[in-house]
Amino acid sequence: MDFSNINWKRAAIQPGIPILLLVLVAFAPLYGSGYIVTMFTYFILYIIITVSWTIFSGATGYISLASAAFYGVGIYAAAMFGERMPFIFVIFIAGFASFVLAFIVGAITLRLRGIYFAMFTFGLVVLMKEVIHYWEITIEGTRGHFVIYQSNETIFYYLLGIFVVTIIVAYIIRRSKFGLALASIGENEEAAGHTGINVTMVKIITFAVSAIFMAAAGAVMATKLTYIDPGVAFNPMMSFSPALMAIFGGMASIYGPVAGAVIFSYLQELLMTGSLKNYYMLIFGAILVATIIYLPSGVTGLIQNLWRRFKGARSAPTRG
Amino acid sequence: MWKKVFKYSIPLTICLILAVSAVLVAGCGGGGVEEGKTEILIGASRDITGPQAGFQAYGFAPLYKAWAEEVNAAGGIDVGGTKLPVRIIEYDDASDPAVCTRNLEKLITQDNVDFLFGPTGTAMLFAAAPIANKYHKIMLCGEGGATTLEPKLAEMPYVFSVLNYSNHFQIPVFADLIEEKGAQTVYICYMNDLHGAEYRLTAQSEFEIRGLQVLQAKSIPMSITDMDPIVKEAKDLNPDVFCMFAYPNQNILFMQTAMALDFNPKCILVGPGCNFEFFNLMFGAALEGVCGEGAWNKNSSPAAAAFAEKVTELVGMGNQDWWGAIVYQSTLEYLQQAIEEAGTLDNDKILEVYRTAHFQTTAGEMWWDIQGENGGGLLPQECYAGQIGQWQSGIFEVIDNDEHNTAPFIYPKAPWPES
Repeated sequence: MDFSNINWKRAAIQPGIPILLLVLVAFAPLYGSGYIVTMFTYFILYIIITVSWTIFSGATGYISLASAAFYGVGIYAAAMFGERMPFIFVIFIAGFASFVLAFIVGAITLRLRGIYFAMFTFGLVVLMKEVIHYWEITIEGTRGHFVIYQSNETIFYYLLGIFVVTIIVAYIIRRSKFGLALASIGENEEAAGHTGINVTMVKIITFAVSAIFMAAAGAVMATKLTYIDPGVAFNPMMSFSPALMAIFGGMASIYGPVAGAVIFSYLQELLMTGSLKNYYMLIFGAILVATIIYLPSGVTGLIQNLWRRFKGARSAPTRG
Repeated sequence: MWKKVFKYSIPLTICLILAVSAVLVAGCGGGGVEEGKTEILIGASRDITGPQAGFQAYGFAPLYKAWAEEVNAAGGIDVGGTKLPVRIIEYDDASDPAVCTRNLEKLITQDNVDFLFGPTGTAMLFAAAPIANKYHKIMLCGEGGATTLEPKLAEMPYVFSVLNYSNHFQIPVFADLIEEKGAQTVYICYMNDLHGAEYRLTAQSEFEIRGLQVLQAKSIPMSITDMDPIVKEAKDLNPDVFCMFAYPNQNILFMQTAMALDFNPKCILVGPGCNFEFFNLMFGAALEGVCGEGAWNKNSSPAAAAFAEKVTELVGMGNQDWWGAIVYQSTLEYLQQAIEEAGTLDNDKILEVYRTAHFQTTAGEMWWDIQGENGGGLLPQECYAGQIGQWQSGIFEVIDNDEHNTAPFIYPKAPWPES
């Protein structure tokens, strides 16, 4: 193997900083209060969902609103199997079930484009919610299920594990030929097809892979919620939040959705429980509208632009 | 090299700064009451802006706020010789159970509350109860209660379900009442949620045990805007009794439709909603003979009469609640006495008091029926002022066949007024 072409400095810097951050976060249960662990848990949850969403939607430009459906499948998997088998298997079952569901849905719908695809995927969330609701009320005569709870630390580390896998998969997809195919689909689907890319299959597989992490996160979070029903599992906010977070953070790199998810959920936490709690929706809405109008590349895009300007100003030739 | 450093480190640094600031902000706020306690903190995650926000005006919330004010005006609660004022911290969950659990965790782990008040509604209660139990915080549930929560209560020693509900005395009492009057057929309409499903199941089984025939049990969605098909079908089937297990909006719609289509069975049970004074203000004479879950009124006892006046002053005439208000108040009074008896804010020591102590409250003598060996608590039937009410001449009379009764059950009910 030829190691001579490797840029060792770059190789050290690029993974070094994320790993340092990861280590800092991983030790949160040791130095932080219970509330810190809970807050970080939600940060990680939203990062997983948003990065998973970006794997498919960020690259292809297809706006999927099915996240809540896949997340809900994970939650219900935990409710159904949580008492019967080791939790790690429950997470795998959740991921597999969601993969199959997304594969089937993708095969049916990924010929649709634009608003039709968004509408169909959101319809899937509503459909699943109503079907399970009908089943529980009419057939079982009750609503919802209790889920065996796990300790906050266990939930935190499970999610952290899923987070690491999600980031690695997102990175590999982005850097692989598969990722190039996705990007070219996002640029011009017809042209991508003409270059020999099996457009439909690439889209379906990516859509299905992205669903795995959402469901896995749902299965873990179910043990934190401890009681779930169709309203909790298939909450439409879980469909809209990742899209908003990704737009807020920017989708040009993996860091964008990560930053978007962290900032968004932190803001949500501050506004909902702080002194401005009565104006939460108002402020949240205003921030969102301002982001879409003034920051089309998201927060990370803004920072990169600012940095370029700053760097440009410093390196600009001076007169005289 | 520095190009690369900056390219990748800036976004990451932002994340790091946010994460660290989150740690610092979270670490700075809310704490500081662990040692040398100066107040009793009670946390509540409530629906302040969501679909059940109305309960903030006429449910548990106005009563616990008034109770805290009253306690503080008297100098606070005596905790082992020191009087501590009560402060309530409320967060909004907009009836989202996921937000509710998150709020509760913040209240417990960040704000360090001593006790919890329950969220708004039965489904939310399901979400909140395991959290209270997980963190060993006594929770007084407010609006809501469910049959399916009962077996779980045995494993949740910190959860105390306050309200009466379907099988927790209301429907069995109602079934006895209509059976005694010779009713033979029933039509059930219910909301397709946990509340409706449980009332329907309990009603169906209680009625069938007594030999009453359930002609139809039909579910309706929360968003229903037209009750005509249901009322027309019910009218065709001509039941002796019509039960409507839905929420105020749907119940109001039913009442209007029943009057418009002149559907007037011998007995109508409508709730929740019928137990609020605004139902009386809205329907007036048309409400004569209509039954609802509850119940108490000014005639229940002198203490109840005084309390009714106080509540009317507090929430306004229309928001008077003839089902839950007196129970909420009494369980708050119980909590205060339990803390004083225990002489500490240690939840486990207060739990010991809850398991055995009887205290005098506005509703009379109160104690808890502990579930399982050392589980959570339900109130026994004797501690409620009544189970079923019937509007008679503008008063929500208690018609239970026991010592709580304030008026006899009128059967059949009066026809709808001609106007």
